[in-house]
Amino acid sequence: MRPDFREYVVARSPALLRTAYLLTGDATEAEDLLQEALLRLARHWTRVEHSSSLDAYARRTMINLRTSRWRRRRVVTVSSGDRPEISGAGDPATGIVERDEMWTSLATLPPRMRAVLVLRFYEDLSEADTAAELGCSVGTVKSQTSRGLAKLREALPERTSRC
Amino acid sequence: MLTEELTASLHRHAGDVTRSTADLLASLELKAARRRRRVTVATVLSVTAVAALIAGVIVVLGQDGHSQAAVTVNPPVPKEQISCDEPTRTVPMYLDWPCPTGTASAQEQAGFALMLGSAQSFLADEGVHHKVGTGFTIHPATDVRMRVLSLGSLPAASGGRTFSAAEFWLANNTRVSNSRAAIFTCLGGPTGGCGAGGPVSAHHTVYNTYLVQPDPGTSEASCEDTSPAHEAAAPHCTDIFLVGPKVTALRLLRPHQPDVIVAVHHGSAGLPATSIDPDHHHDWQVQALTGNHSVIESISYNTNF
Repeated sequence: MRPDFREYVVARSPALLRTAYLLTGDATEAEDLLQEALLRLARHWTRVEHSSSLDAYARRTMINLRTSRWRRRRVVTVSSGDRPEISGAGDPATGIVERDEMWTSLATLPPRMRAVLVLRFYEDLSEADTAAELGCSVGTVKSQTSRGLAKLREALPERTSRC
Repeated sequence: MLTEELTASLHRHAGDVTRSTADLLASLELKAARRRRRVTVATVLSVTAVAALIAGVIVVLGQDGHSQAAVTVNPPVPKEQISCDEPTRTVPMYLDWPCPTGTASAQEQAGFALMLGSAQSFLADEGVHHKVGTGFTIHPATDVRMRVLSLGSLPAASGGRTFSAAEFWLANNTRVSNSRAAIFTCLGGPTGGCGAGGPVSAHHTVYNTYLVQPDPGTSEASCEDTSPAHEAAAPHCTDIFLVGPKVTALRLLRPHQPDVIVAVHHGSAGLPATSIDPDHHHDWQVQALTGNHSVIESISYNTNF
């Protein structure tokens, strides 16, 4: 691997991994996704290394890979629930995370819609930048955002009443 | 507002995931190298096939169509056998795999390799003889990603840690969480019993790999002293493999066609021995293999008990 690519991985992989995790909701899948995206980036490095938006390229690759995998997936695995006893299970922080219904609801959204929400509300991209990153129109970003939020509202009715 | 809560949730969860950059880079190097090899082999095969085809056409034309050209393309290179007798070789499984030298640490590493070897040979329906101390053979992993996951919350009870590590991995890996697993683990070791007594799901089958410890100063192994105790301590185990410096019994019973094989080792396998403080740190290696011999997961749990 080229030294400048290694430098990029060292500098940016933690942030990209966080985005991958938000796109997938699963740490293992996030690592796979990031790894595959970086491999593709490495292959096209000479073409894109001077691009001003390497992160955008990597994110777009991850989103496309994630969407493709989601479409191909035929078998849904379900946890057996037979977890061993964990001494840290009483950690109150764990409970907070488990009670995060927003996170659970986010997992029910299709990957493209979820990606729009992640780019808009985590990466804080504008609608135009989100559209450019996803390779779609601004109108599509608006409608996907609107539908995504509507689905979340539907899943979290108590939030709707508070709003 | 919903959007504010969404933003907060995303930022909160984004902090849940971390991965060692060095680990990622090593994994990328490995993958890239494999991809390059595949491309090279594919290119060579393609060129060979085209050349053979052209030669065949020339032969056919030259003989007025009375004979057919036999296009023979060599099959892909068979699975490489890596032996620790060749210390300069690198087993991709651990990136830098040291050969056993007779030290306790090296024996642990050998033990893990033995477990993997047993698991693989079990799947491959081939009798592989492992030899500790004089080198061992092992099929190289083809797709390994070493993941380091720090978990300070594995069960701290004196028994069952090994099984718990396997169970934890199985329960937390969505791809195999509902699989029927065969867990290969090692009960042996100078202190013995590291894996006994742990919780095991009913649909998982545990195969204990008992690493016979050689008596100091000799190459003879003695399993009679400790194996009955291990068997008594782990009644839920299906079978015990006996392996050692002088392999006299390697019982490979046909299993129940598990979906996934998980090999777990407690010790310093894969890591420099000096990085492990045996009094305070335990390193768990969880290695999962599928039926086609590819390693699908390799996780190291570093835990403090």
